[in-house]
Amino acid sequence: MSQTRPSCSRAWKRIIARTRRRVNLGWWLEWLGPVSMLFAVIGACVVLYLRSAGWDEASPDQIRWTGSVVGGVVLLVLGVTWLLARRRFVTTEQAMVRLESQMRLDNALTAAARGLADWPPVPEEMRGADGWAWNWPRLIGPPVVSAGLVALPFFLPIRPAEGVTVRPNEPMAWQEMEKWLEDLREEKIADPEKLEEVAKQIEALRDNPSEQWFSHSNLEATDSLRESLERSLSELERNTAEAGAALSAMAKFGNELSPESAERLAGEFAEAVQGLEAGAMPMDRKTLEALSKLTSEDLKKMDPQAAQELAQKLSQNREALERMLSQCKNPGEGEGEGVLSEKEILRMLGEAPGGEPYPSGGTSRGRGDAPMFHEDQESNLATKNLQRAVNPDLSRAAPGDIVGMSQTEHQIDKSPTSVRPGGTVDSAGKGGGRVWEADLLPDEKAVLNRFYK
Amino acid sequence: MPTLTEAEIATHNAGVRRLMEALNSVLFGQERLVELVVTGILARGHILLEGLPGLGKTELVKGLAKALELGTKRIQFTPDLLPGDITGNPVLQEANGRREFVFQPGPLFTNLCLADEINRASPKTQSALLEAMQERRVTVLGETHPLPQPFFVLATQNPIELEGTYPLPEAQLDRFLFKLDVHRNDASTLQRIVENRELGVEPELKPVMTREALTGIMEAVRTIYLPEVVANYIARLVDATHPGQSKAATAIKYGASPRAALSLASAAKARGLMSGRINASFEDVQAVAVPVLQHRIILDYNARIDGKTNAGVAAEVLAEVPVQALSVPRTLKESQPVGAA
Repeated sequence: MSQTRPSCSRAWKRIIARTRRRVNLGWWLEWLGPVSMLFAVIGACVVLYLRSAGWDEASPDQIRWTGSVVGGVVLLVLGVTWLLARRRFVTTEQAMVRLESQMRLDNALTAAARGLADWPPVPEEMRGADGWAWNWPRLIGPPVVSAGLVALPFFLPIRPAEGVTVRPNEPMAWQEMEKWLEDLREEKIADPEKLEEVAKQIEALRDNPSEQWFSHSNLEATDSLRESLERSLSELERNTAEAGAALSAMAKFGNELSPESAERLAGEFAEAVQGLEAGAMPMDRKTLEALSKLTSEDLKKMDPQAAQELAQKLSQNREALERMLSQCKNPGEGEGEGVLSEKEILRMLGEAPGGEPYPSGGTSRGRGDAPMFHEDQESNLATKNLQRAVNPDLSRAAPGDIVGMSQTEHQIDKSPTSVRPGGTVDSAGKGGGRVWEADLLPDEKAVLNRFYK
Repeated sequence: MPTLTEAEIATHNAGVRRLMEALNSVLFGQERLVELVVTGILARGHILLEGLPGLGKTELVKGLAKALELGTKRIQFTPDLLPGDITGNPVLQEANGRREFVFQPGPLFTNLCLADEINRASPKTQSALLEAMQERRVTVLGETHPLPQPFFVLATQNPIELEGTYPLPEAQLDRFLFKLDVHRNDASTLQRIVENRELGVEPELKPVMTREALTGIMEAVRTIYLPEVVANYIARLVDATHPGQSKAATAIKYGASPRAALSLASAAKARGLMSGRINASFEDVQAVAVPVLQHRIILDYNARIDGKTNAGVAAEVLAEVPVQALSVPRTLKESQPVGAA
């Protein structure tokens, strides 16, 4: 088949370009394999994490979002691998030399490209002319493994993990105070604004870094707040009780009271109401307004039934406050569950001679004496027995410390060896025999055998 | 450097073919040897022929001299040959009433010097050839005398007779472009020789190329294009003959010199012209690599004990070094090209 020079030139350039693209694609795919596997592993981990975090892969939004991310990652992988592989890409000249060397063209293409000779005719069959074939296992392996890695997490049965928030332990007093505040709100006993103010103070303490919650200053502040709240509740309880008592007496004996007594009760009531209003923990506004409106005249003319109801309301508040205050007491300070009786304490500590109970010691910390006492008979400390003293922790031993002591005896050969009359000895000893039997080498034994023969 | 036209190449190629045909008519069954000898001549190189007696080494050189119309002198190297016997000596002559030394040229002053059994001369005499082979001149008593152009040394040596021989020093071996092994002929070639030759009668051979034509072809060889990739291949090939540079070079104690690379390039160019091409190629380098390299590498003791030969190791190096230093991705594998021309 006749070929013109320009057509040969074009054909060869096309073949050379194809060879160059082929080998460069090979380089790209070579880089794409491991990089795609790396991204596949990362992607699999991400999918596993998302699924364990409750990711709903079936929702349209999630599919869109996932598609965007996957598309972006694929583009990124393609770009990165192209940049990595680009350093190994072959040039057109290299591809041309590869072709002419494989086809044994005597470097005719190089000479033609330089313009020194004509382009050689193009063979009809050019398949595989560059001497390369695709290495399919290398080509297919990495993408298949990558796809498998990405797909695997979707098929694994994963239950979304429960949201577990790890909250560090905080001082018990905060929770106690918050419980009181909650009770006060529910019972509508105290002013909500004041309760909110105390709650904010607790939150302020909680806002400190958790590692400082148990610092000395923080615990001091907590104690101070707790005591202050306890005092204000106690004051509220006392004033409520006084107001309730006055109101109850007036309701019960309103018409039978002398004017002086009625006046005194009205004064006590007014004083208690004033205390409820001006105390550190004011009473609930509604109840307080109802009480404040009651003058001494109103009290005298008050319907006994209404007075009784009001007195009952105050009594309920007082009982609730009493209940709270009883819980305010520290364990061991009062009677109740978890506090050991004196008998139980004596049983645990052992009874004193004579059956007299031990002194109770401190107010809240059990006995004050040490659980040791003198006896008529001296304790047997067994000082005559030699005991081994060891230092089990040699890492803390100071230079000169005794590491250990033990009692032992010298090993004395007690076999009789003294000379007896007549030049004989009681025992010949075994030293020579031991040397003979144990210490000599076979050669030495042979020498001795020969000598003593 | 001016480039050759296709017509010039064709003309030179035709002359070379005539020369080879003439030589093949003298020496039967040695086409490859004849081709390499002509290649060496066109590359301006000296050639060392090694083979058993009677294989036609001397006949080949004599035939070459006849075919090329070149001056030829034969030196039979013997142990008592002195340097002056081949370079020439100053002779005391009387002229115009004065006595003075006049240089009497030796047998080296010719175009084609046949150094027969070169390894029988002493190293001192062998070394007298160094300057002549490299610089193509002779210096005697401080006076330098240029040799006629072109100048070639075609030496022969017998590989089996070791008694009374002196191995050529490496420096001199390096000056030979090719070392060619002359192998025995097969039975059919022997029959052809018997039918066409007679003992003691030299074959008739007419000149087929003038000295000027030969010089023109030798100049044309210099203008043959040596592609960069081929030069790179030559460099890597020579480098691979050095210990540690290739697997095959583990058997080599000393590798080839830069002169080997130059010789390889020159021989490849000559072969390119002989093939009617404007350029030298990988194939040209591969064709002349073993004759160029085999006498320039020195095998180590273990390799010699293992029975390895210089030619064998050079062939191993040639097989090991790829023509193109191109790394291939593992996603591609080597395969046999389908459409190879």
